[in-house]
Formats: sequence, structure tokens, C-alpha cells
Amino acid sequence: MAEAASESVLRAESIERVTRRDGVPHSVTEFDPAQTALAVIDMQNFYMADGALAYCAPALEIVPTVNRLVSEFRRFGAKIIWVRNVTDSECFRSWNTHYGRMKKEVVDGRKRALAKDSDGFKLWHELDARDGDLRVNKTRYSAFVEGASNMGNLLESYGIDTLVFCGIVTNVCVESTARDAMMLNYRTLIVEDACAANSQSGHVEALNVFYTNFGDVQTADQAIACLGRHGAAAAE
Amino acid sequence: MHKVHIKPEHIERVVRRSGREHSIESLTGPATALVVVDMQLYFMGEGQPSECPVAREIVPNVNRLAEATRRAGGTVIWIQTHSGPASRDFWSVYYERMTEANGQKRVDGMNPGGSGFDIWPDLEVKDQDLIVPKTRYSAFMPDPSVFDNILKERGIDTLLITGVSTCTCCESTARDGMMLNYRTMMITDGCAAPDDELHNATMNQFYLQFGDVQSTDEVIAMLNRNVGAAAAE
Repeated sequence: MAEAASESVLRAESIERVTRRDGVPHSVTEFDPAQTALAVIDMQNFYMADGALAYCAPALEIVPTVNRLVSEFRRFGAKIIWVRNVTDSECFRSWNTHYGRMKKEVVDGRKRALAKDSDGFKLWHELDARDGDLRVNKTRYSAFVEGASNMGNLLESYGIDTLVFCGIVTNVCVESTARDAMMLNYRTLIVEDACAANSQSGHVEALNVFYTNFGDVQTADQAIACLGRHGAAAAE
Repeated sequence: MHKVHIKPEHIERVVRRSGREHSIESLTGPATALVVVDMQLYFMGEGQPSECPVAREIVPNVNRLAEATRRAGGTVIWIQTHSGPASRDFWSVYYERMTEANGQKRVDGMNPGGSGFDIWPDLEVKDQDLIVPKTRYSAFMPDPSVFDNILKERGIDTLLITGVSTCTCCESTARDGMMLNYRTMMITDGCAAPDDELHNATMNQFYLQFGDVQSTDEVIAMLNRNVGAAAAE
């Protein structure tokens, strides 16, 4: 699929507000690749395969942009982290208020289709995942909720202080993980045209709220340019 | 007050998935906490740096909810943001984004004793209530076990979220609470945002993916049913 040039979904009033507060529209202008990780959220068959239980059609459209980001971040030496949702017997117990809201057949579907040995759990086959990349499994929307994953420890072990997010679903798992990351003091950026949601308004609202209150939101082109800028001034 | 609109297609989807419109159909008083987020001068007073005018309009609802929660045997928790000088260090990425002057405004205003720190004077804080400090947007961050333990010690399993602002501190607290397995509800007319659009975006999203949303009157009716049943025993 060809990659379409994308326009930002950030509203003029969001940009004005951030510029008034921060002095500039985008406070993140460069990343040190050695301390940066690109986290790709939940791009699994469970959400992307034809007829999948939680099918999110727009996710298919961002695959080329995600792959381009992954390839550029990898080339500059940043870590790539493939974050995947998983269900196990423990999470149905420890998160029973969530599953308790669903009908039994919906819960049973999730038990089967997001288990570690299921097809639904696997990454979408068109993604450029490599052996040297990192993988994190999570049992909540946010990878940072206590007990949900080993994300925090992993980032600490690699000395990561900057997190760049893409994937699905913008306003659920991407936003929840990115909000928590920012509150845990990671410099946090969401790549808007490498995220997708079923609802376009949900996608746009989440990105505007994140941008005005939490962290930066940039397009893939802008984020890739930030990688290239690191060390450029020092080298001159 | 915000004009609240929950999209009919979201209600349909929730009913299809859950078999019912509201996941919370009853409240057990002693297991319920009313969590009032950041109703402090900094976010409410005229001319304050983060003034959200609608926050002043929800004060009567928050007071009514607090009264009903106490009467039902529940706990009222006032969450108060502390953002003094130390926050520049432990939450450096927050200040990194903004200008030095705007960062200083926050540190000065949200430090205990600062001009924005106190809880809004028209809110009825009672001796039996808890005042819990927080240092991030979400009351569960950065170490979820702190607030979690306060709730668990009291046997609380249900959170009613009110306060300011809907999409930032209320929603972050509500999302984390829900992921930590609390039955979580955001009160549609008990939260305030900069505008209706932002407010409704959060309410719709939270209802669809995270928990329940209901109005002050609906929640008070549920709390009162509980009191009625206890009195009848």
C-alpha cells in the first residue's frame, strides 16, 4: 500500500495554546537514539486480520508509515519495542471488573483469540519486526499499570528516557500507555499518522488532548527529522 | 454546565457487548469512594493560571454527591495536587516543555501555601473525609500502591470520579483506577473541562472502553436506595 502524505490533526487552537505556554509548538526537536525507544502498540491479528474480533480497519492503512518509522529508528540505533496485548487466566481474575462488564461470549472470545498461543496474539505479518527488536506483552490497556508488563524494568535496563509511540488504538492503549509514561517522567511523543482508531473523532480528540496536556504529537516526517538532528549541532 | 451528549451508537455498542446500558446498576455505600480531583483555586479561581470556569458550576453537584456518599457510609476523598519546587526534579519532562516563567507560576501556585493550592472554599470538606495529595495528573501515579492501599484498607472497590479537568486529571485517574480493577464511573455533570467538546470526548470514550458514566442524580438515587435498604433491615 502506498503511503499517503498526511496532514496534522492538531487543531489551530491546540497549537496556539501550547505555543503560548511553551514558547514553541513542538518542544521535542531531537532525540538521542541511544536513550530512545519506539514502542509499537498492539498491531496484532486480533485487531487487524479480516473478521477479527476487535477489527480496526484503519490500522491497515498505517502499516507503511509504521514500517518506515521502525526502519529509521532502527537505523539510528534506537530500540524498537513491539508491545502486544495478551490474555491469561490471571488477568481474567485480577481484572474481573473489566471482563465482568462483558457478556460471557465476548469474554470467551477474548480468552481464545488473545491467548499467547493464538493467531490473534501474533503481530500482523506485514510489519517489519526483526529478531533484535524487543517485545513486551501486556495484560492491561496501559503497559505501565502495576503488574501489566515488564515495560518499566526493560526501559530502565536500557537507560531509555524518551518514548515514541505509534500503533493502535489511538485513544485506548496508545493513549493510556503514553499518559502513564509521561507521568512516570519519560519524554513522550505520539506519532499521529502512525496511529489508528475506529473512530476518527476519537483519534483526533485523543491526540489534541495529549498534545495540549501530556507530551508532544508529531507526524512521522517530523519525528524522523528529530532523529537526524541529534548530534548535528555538536558535529558542526 | 456542560451540555453532555453520549452518542447513541456508543450506547448500542455497550449494550451489544455487555447486555446492558450501565455496568454499574447499584452501589454499596461502604465500598464506594467519591473521588474529587483537583478542585483547587489554581483550576477554579478567576484569573488563576489554569482557570476552568465550568469547575465553579459543578460545585453544588459535588457537594450533593459528597453528602449522599457519606450518608450511605462511603468515603469522600479530596485529591489535592502538590506541585512545589521538588516537582521540577521528579517530573522534569513536564516542565521541560513549558517556558521557565510558566513553570514557575505552577510551582509557586501549587506549592502548599501558594495562591492556587487550597481547596475551593464553597466545597464542604468534612472531618471524616480524606484529603489525599497527588503529584501527577493521575492520583495513582507514580506509585499506584500508595493510593491503592488507602482504598484497599477501607474496603473500597468502586470509584466515582468528579473534579477538574475532565480530560486530564479526572480521566487519567479514572483510567488507572479501572485498570487497577476498581469499578469506575465518571460523573457526567460532576466534572469540568475547558469546553463541551473536550468534556464529551472523554465521557464518550470512557463509557465505551473503560467504565461507566452517569449523572449526579442517577448516582444519588443509587446511593439512597442503599440507605433505604439498610434502614429497612
